[in-house]
Order: sequence, then structure tokens, then C-alpha cells
Amino acid sequence: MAVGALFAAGCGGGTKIDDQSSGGNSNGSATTTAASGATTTAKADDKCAGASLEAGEIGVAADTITIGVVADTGSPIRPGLFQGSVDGMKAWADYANANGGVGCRKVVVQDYDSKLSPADTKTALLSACTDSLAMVGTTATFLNDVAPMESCTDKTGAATGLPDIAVLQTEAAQQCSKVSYVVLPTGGACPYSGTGERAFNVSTTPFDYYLKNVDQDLHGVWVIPKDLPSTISSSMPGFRFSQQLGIKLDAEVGASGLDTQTAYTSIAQTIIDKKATYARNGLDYKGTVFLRKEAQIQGVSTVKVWDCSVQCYDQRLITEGGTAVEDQYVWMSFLPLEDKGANDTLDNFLKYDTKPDGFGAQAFAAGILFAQVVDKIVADKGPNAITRANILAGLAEVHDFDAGGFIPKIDIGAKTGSACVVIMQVKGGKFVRVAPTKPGTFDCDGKIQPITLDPVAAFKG
Amino acid sequence: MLLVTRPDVSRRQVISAVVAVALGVAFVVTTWAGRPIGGTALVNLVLFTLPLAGIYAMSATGLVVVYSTTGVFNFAQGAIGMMAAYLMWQFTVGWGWSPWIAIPIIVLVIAPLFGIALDRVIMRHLQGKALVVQLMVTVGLLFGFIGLVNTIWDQRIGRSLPFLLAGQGFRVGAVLMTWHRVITIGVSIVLVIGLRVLLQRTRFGVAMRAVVDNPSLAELNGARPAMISMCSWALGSSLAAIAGILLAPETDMSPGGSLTLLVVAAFAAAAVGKLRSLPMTYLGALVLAGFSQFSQSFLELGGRWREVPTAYPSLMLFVVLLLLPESQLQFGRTADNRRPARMRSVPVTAAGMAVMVAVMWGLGGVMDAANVNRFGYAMCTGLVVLSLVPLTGWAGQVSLAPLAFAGVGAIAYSKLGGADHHVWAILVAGLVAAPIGAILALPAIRLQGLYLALSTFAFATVCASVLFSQPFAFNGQSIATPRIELVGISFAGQHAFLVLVSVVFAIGAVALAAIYHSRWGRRLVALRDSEVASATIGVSVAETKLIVFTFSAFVAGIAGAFLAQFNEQTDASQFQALLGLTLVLGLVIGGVATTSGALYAGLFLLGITLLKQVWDVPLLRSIEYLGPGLAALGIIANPNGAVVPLGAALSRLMPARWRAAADDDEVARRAAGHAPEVGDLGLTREFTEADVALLDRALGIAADVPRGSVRRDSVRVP
Repeated sequence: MAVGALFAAGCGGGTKIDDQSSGGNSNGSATTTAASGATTTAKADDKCAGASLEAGEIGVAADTITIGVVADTGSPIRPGLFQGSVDGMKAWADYANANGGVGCRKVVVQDYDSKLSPADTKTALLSACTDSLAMVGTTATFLNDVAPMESCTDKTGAATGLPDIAVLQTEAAQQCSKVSYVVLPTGGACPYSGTGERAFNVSTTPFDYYLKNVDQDLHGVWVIPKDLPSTISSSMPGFRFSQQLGIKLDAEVGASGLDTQTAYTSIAQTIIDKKATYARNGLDYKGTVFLRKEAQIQGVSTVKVWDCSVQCYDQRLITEGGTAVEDQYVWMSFLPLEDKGANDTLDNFLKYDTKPDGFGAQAFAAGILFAQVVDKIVADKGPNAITRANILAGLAEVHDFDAGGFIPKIDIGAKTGSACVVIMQVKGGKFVRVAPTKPGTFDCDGKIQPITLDPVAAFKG
Repeated sequence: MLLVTRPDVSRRQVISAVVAVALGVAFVVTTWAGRPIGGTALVNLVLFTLPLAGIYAMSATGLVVVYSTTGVFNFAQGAIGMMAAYLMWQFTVGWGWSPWIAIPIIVLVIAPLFGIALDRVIMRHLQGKALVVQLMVTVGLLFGFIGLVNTIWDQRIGRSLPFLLAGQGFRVGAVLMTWHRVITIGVSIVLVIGLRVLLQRTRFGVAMRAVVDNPSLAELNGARPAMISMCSWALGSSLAAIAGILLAPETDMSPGGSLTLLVVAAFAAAAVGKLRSLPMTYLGALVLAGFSQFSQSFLELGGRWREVPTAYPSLMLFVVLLLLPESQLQFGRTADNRRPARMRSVPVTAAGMAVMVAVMWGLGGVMDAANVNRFGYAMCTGLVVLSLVPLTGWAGQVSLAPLAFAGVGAIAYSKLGGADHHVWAILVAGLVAAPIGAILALPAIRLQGLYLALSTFAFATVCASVLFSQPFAFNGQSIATPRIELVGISFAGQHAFLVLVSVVFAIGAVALAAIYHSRWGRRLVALRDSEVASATIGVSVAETKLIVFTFSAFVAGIAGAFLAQFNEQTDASQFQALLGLTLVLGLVIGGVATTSGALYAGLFLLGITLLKQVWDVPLLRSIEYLGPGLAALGIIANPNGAVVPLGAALSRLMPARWRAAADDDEVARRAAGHAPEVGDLGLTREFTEADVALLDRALGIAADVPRGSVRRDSVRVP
């Protein structure tokens, strides 16, 4: 049941199907940034011309590059959970192939189902090690054993490791692995043993926005996803940090992904009793729907900021929550799908992914990162130098990746997050940009600040 | 059918009650948040409790009615409700029908028809089957229904059902009670009263219950078991549909969500009513909901207690089962008098296992690392379910907690030597798990059948949620569980580990074969056939149960050590109770009483995965989800497991079995023609030359053996 609870507690989110075209504020000109790898791509194209292509690495043939996407898609309990990542990767491959391929070759995407199971995740890693040049768009919840990818051997037999460009990293082992990188880092310090205190870098931007633009005396209730330590530890740093910034704590309540809406009655009453002006839910969109619906029923009227991060950027929040989720704030670190027309990368993603969602968007960005690194290798060393070792070296040297402006500039090599976010709000049954209002841009007013805590012990229940 | 009648409250019950209350009080005191309990808080607590109790009661009512009227404990009850909720969504939101049209169509037409189909296709064939078979068929259906809904409705589209009457209601103090909740509470109360009247006061209801207790006797008294069974399932499905439709707006209706899994919470409420009394079931729902809401309002459950609320239903179920008087537990609901599949002899088992090891060694040499890894995992899970063969297969003690003991073994392995690659840590894992198995045996000594099965499931859930999250165990983290080194040989490689775990499985299987054919094995089989009969011939039932539980836990603990080594990094998620159910399901599909059934269980899910891998077509993707449900149909066809017909088919390929195969065909032909049993020969029908020859060959008697005075042409006994 805990597995069942997990996806509802913290690993859901980001799913969004409807393409709402360019809804929201579309005033102002788009600030599409030229793809960071544009120059290297041009150089790579030059290197491809007339080159004799060889199969120099596992997953690299003379005419194709095979990459693997490991995602939880086939669990009998939660079928199709992260199918968005697989679709996003395939969309990126279609896009890349339609534009000349990567590293002078066509891209082939091989998907591996990790099935919400450590054993199947391990099998998926071993399969990827055997067949694929790298893992791109990894969205596996239970990747707690990184040995299969760290000890993966290359074509020469050396234990180079299998490069991993992930979308989701729930486990500290993956976050801190020498072969794993993520397009949007969580900000936890490495190395980390898995227990005890850990330093986190957290963005102040959304909280600064609320305190400056909504109410400087916010105080409220935090709902902690208590099902698993990983869901608790993914929530607590941001929660504590927002309290440090000045949002006063009225109450902190644990909730389960398997809770019914009636379990939120007491939380709604707490909000009423405390006259809370801020409420944040760390569960997935479903938990927020329950909280908001119950608050609506109980007549909660004091809350000025209903807060939620990327897991609530999900069309199902609106379709299931209806009018109850009106004014819900949602913030994330990639351009919303509503920005269509304001960014080339986003437009390409929407063109090639027929069922776009948040995971797919991040997977698409992961594909672009992979292409950028490979093209640089080709540009610098030629098309037959595409090896795992060179990709790992290349990833470590990427310090300003932004997927053509689709995400803020990220220091991939240093695995540090960005202070920049886009803050959306549900208005009239749609996600609408509120900060910044200009499509294709991010709010970077805040900064990244450290906080150190034991993320699990910090939750008092 | 009561075997023991002792209604007095025993000293054991009093002590159990005192201990349970003391532990509960200690827990509350330890976790008290310090918030004052005033009048308003108490009123609010009641108001928070009633809707939740209505939800639990609604789920539990269907469970109790289905069990009372069919004798089948339906794990899929919540999943049926979930399907009804999706239909409701399709009709009302998808197609815009009025809910007042959709509800009667679903509840009064579609759900009963579905129940009838369920009865005709599956449930009717479960009558008289072993309890574990009945339970696992419903578990298979649970997964199958989840797969079906996922196949029909794309889960990336948000769906929710609105509250009836648009979420309006009335205020009691500060709390608004919606009409929807009032309707839920009201319907649950009306159902409790109405169904109690139906089952207790009407001739039809009495017949429904009578058919479950003794269909033959009921039929002699004019009841029509087939018709009644059909009506019972129609009623059960309608109840599930009502529950699903009313609860969906309050729950996560997605497959595998809280609507489907609410049935687990309903177990506890139903147990309070002893799976028969609906009013007591409602009381159970109130107590469970009350404590849950009390906990949320007044307790502080962080740190080591963070996962305890998840386990409240299981804790309550466990306590209730401990407190119920023995006399009310000892009734036999299932009467599977057929002997399960027999174990092969030790030499045959040893030969078979040697072939298995050789095959694994060979496959490991030709397959890629990922597939070798898959086979390694299959062998580890096979080893886990091997622990159930003597316990459930031979002794008939249904345990749904194999992974709980494996988890204990994994923790012990890591903490007590395994982290340093010591071989003896494997034995320690078994030795640590064994006494915990003995502790579980204590309630098992007095519990039987379904209650025992439920108590083991509760135990598994409590272990996964509470025990494994403690600081001395996983503590919410993954722990290092490296592989052993044996006389300088490392098993870090996938191939070496596959061979190692295959050899261990083979040793275990041969040891079990030896035990089965020993005096102790016969004691276990006798226990399964009849505890009372076993006691009358001098077998100590309590001692035998204690030993077999302990032994099973020992084997599971060792298996856990290997499962941990397979993973190398192990955490509590690998030992969830629901995952354990799939393993038991696999064992039942394979054959619960044979070691080859355990091997089959390990390879079952692997087979589906490989099938999908080889032929990646949409149809097989659905089969991956629907596989367990389809397997449930297979169990009905082969309640002794797939390995029995599979083994027979394979053995026929061997030249030495060609002639015997012809005899088997003759026996099968006669059975198909409803020919009299062998035991009737010479009593009610002619004993022909052909019969003698057939028996001679079956018994291995040479044709030239003198027959004495027996006439070889024919014998007729007057």
C-alpha cells in the first residue's frame, strides 16, 4: 500500500494533457534564447560531412545512437505512471531525427520499464548498460541502487559507468551518483549517507513573491506527505525554508496519499480556527484537490495563498478540482505549456509530443542536454569519439544549460538548482502566468539560499 | 459449523484485552501533542468521525454480505466498486446523463449482471476449493480489474465524480456536514438494517446463508444453490457499486487508488462483526474512524511513529482477531476434501532440481546481464514462496505474510554480518526470522482458515508500515546488503549469483521433499486434512503449528537474505504486504503444495515480462496488467496448480511413460464419461479383465504373477 501511497504522495504531478495553446498573458515579445549548443551543433555538422562513422561504443552504431529511458510505466498497481517521460523522449528523438539526428546519427529510443520496483529498476539499468549509450529522461522512483549504472562497463571493458540524464531523482544515492545528472536539480548537498542532517539549496523566489505581492504577514498550515521518508524529505526543506523567510507556522499536519477527502475536514477546521492566510500541500495534485474541495465545503475564506509546486502543474488539478481550486498558485522551473509560441523548444515539444505533460517537458529538455553534449564531443573530437566516458566528462562541464530558454540556466555539472521559477495561478479554470507575466521568461528575483536539516526528523507529525 | 463451543470469556482474552489497552494508552501518552480536549474539540471529533465511519462501513458491508452469502472473502470488492465509479463517470460526466438515471442503471442493472457473470464464470467454480485458492482468485481479480480499467480509461485524463446535491449541507457548530455525507451515512445504516432483516428474517436470506454452510443440506430442504449463489453475487456487486459511486467523490478513484484499497481498512471493521454481524461491523467502522480522527487531531506522529496511522486498520484487525473468543472462530467454511498434489520422491526431486540448476547455469551463460538478473530475481522470489509450501501447501495454514519474514531476514542479514559478506549471516537471517514466526504461530494456534489468513495479512502490513520503519530496521532508508563471498568465490556477478540462488533453491526443494516423505511431513498433511482427526490420533496440533510456522519463517528469513543480496541495496518498499499477495498468487497458480509450484511462481511474472519484451505489441502490454486476472481463471481450471498438468504433459514425452500415458488416457476417458470410481469395481459393476490389466500396470505387477483363486475373466460381488 505504501507503494500505492507513494505515487499519490509526492511522485505524481507534472501530468498535463490538454494543450491549452497560448493561454494566459501573451503580451510582450517572446524572449526565446538561442539554443546553447547552436555553435557546437554547427561544428558537429561540419565534422559529420564525409566522415567514416564507426560503432565505437555500446549503443553507438555507424548510423544510429541508442539511448534508454528508464521509467515506471508498467506497474500493475499504477500502470502508465511516468509514461509522459517515455513519450517526451520519443518526441525529442523524432524532433532530433527530423533535424539531422545527433552525433551524425539517427537517434533510437529504447524504453525500459522500472515498474515502481527496485528489482525491475535494477534490471532496467542492466539492460540499458547492455544496449544503450546513455540513460536519458530517467523517471524511476526506486533507483536506490546505483551500482549497476556506476559499474557499467563500456565497449573497452572499462567500468566507466552509464551516463544518466534524469528527470526525477527521488533517492539520495542517485542524486549523488557520479554518473547521474538531472535537468532540474533538487539542491541537496552531496555526498549524503541517507540519514541525518543534509544541506539543501532552496529558491526564495516564490516565497519572496508571496510576501511582497500578496501579504507580508502570511501565516498558515503545511500539509506534509507522510507516507514515505522520501516524500517527507522532499518536502521539508522547502517548507522549513519558507517559514524561515517569514511565513509563520500555524500548524503542520501529516497526510497520506491514501487519505479520503474527509480526512481533510480537520485540516480545513484548523485553517478556520487559526484564520490562516497561507496553506501549502506537499502531496500530489490529488491531495490538493481534496484539501481545496474540503476547504470550499467548510467555508474557508481567510487563505490568500494556496501554494503548491510543480506537482500541481497538472491539468487534472483543474478538471478534478473545478471551481474549488480557483486561485491556486503553482510554480515550476520550466516554461508552462501555455507559453506556446514564446519559445522554440517548447513549440517543438508541443509539435512532436501528442500527449504533452510536465514529465514529458523535462524529458524533452533532457534530450536536448544529451544532444548538446554529444554535439560538442563531435565538434571537438569527431563523430567516432562518442563514448560514455566522453559524455560523462562533457556533462560535468555543462554549467549553463537552459534548453534554448525552456528552463532557467542550470549548472548541470555542479548539480545546483536555479532560483528562477514561473509562478502560475488557476484563474477561470486555466493556468495563468502571474510572475513574470511575460511568456517565455522566468522570475529570477529571488536567490538560492542554504538550509541544513534532517529532512525526515524535521517532521514532527 | 461450530466445532468447539465455549462462549465464556477466557483468561487469555482478558489478558489480551488488558495488554492491547495498555499498549494503546502507552502509545497515546507517548505521542500526545498536548492539545486540550474541550467540548468543541470532542464535538468536532464526532463530526469528523461520522463521515469516515460511513465510508468504512459502506466498504465493509459489501464485504460481509458477500462473505455471508457466498463464503468467498472478496479482495476485489473495492475494485468492483472502482469499476462502477468509472462507469458512473462515463455516464454522467462523459456522456452527460443525469446521475439519477445513471445510478439505477449501474446499481440495478449493470452491477447485478456483472455479479451473475462473475458467479457463472468464476465464483461458482470456487465452491469447495481450498481457502488459499479462493482468496488468490479474488486477489487475481483485484489486479485484473485494475488492469481492465486502465486499459479502457486513459489515466492521464483527470476524472472525479461530483458530490450529490452539489456539496450542499448543514452546519453543526463550525463543521459543515454535506448532504452527500449524510446520504452516505444514511445509506450505510439503511443497508445494515435492511440486509440484516434480509439475511436473518426472510426465508431467502436464511437460504443464502444455509447454502454457504451446507449446500447439499440446503438443497434437500428446497433451496436452489445455483440460483442463490447467482443472486448473492448480484447483490454483492450491487453493494460494491453503491459503495463505489458514493465513495468516489471522497476518494482517489484511479485504479490502485484509495477507493480500490479501502477494502483493506474494511477488513478490520468486518472482523469486529466476525464477518457476519452487520451492526457490529458498523461499530467496528466507527471505532476505526474515531481513532484515526482522534490520532490526527490529538497525536503527534513523527519520527519512528510516522507510518503507524497507515497501519491502524491492520493493527485493529490483529487485535480484534486476538480478542475474539475461540468458539466463534472455529468453524470450517471451506471443505476441500481432495488431496493436494503430492510431492515427488526425494530422488526424483533431486534429479529435477539438478536439471533446473543446469538449465539456470546454461541460461546464465548465454543471456545478457539484464535477463540473468531477471532470472536471479525470479529464483529469489521462488525461494521466498518455497517457505509457504510446507505451511500453506501441506499444513493448510494460509499465510499471506511471506515477505514480512523475508524482510526480517533481510534486515538481520544486513545488520548481523551480511554487510561484511559473511556467509553465516544467511543462517542468522533465518534464525532471527524463526522466532518471529513462532510469535505469529501463537494466534495461529487458535485461529483457522480465513481468520488466520487475515491475521497474517495484518501482520505483514504492520511489519511493512511499523516494524521496518524503526531505527533498528530500515529507518526509511535503503541499507547495504552486499553479496556473500564463499571460500574466496565472489557472487557479485549476475551469473554467479543466479547459479548460487538456484543451488540454494534446489537444496531447499530436496530438503522439503525429504521432509514431506517423513513422519513429520505426514503430520502436516494430516493437519491440513483435519485438525480434529489429527488430535484424535495423538498429533499435537498446537505443537505442529508452532513448528511449521517457525520452520516456514526460518526458510523465508533465509530467502530474505538472498533477496537482499540480489538487490544489494534494500529498503522496506521491497517487502510490502500487497507485493506479498502477488507472490502467494503466483504460488497458487503454480501449485501451492509442490516445490515446482514455488519455482513456477518465481518464473510466472518473469514470463509475462519476457513475453512483452519479445513481442512488444499493445495487446501484450494489456496482458501485463491483466495477467494476474487471467491467471485467476487458470487457477479455477487447475486448483492444484499449473505444474501438475504441465508435469504430466512433460512426463508423457518420456519413452518410459508412453504406456502409462495410455493408461492415464483411459482413466481420464472413463472419468469424463462419469464412469464409477475404481473403488466401485466389483461392488456395483463388473470387474473385467481390462480393469485387472489396468490396475496391474498401475501398480507395477507383472502379468505372469499368479492370481490365486481370483477369476481373471470377471468378478461380481452380490
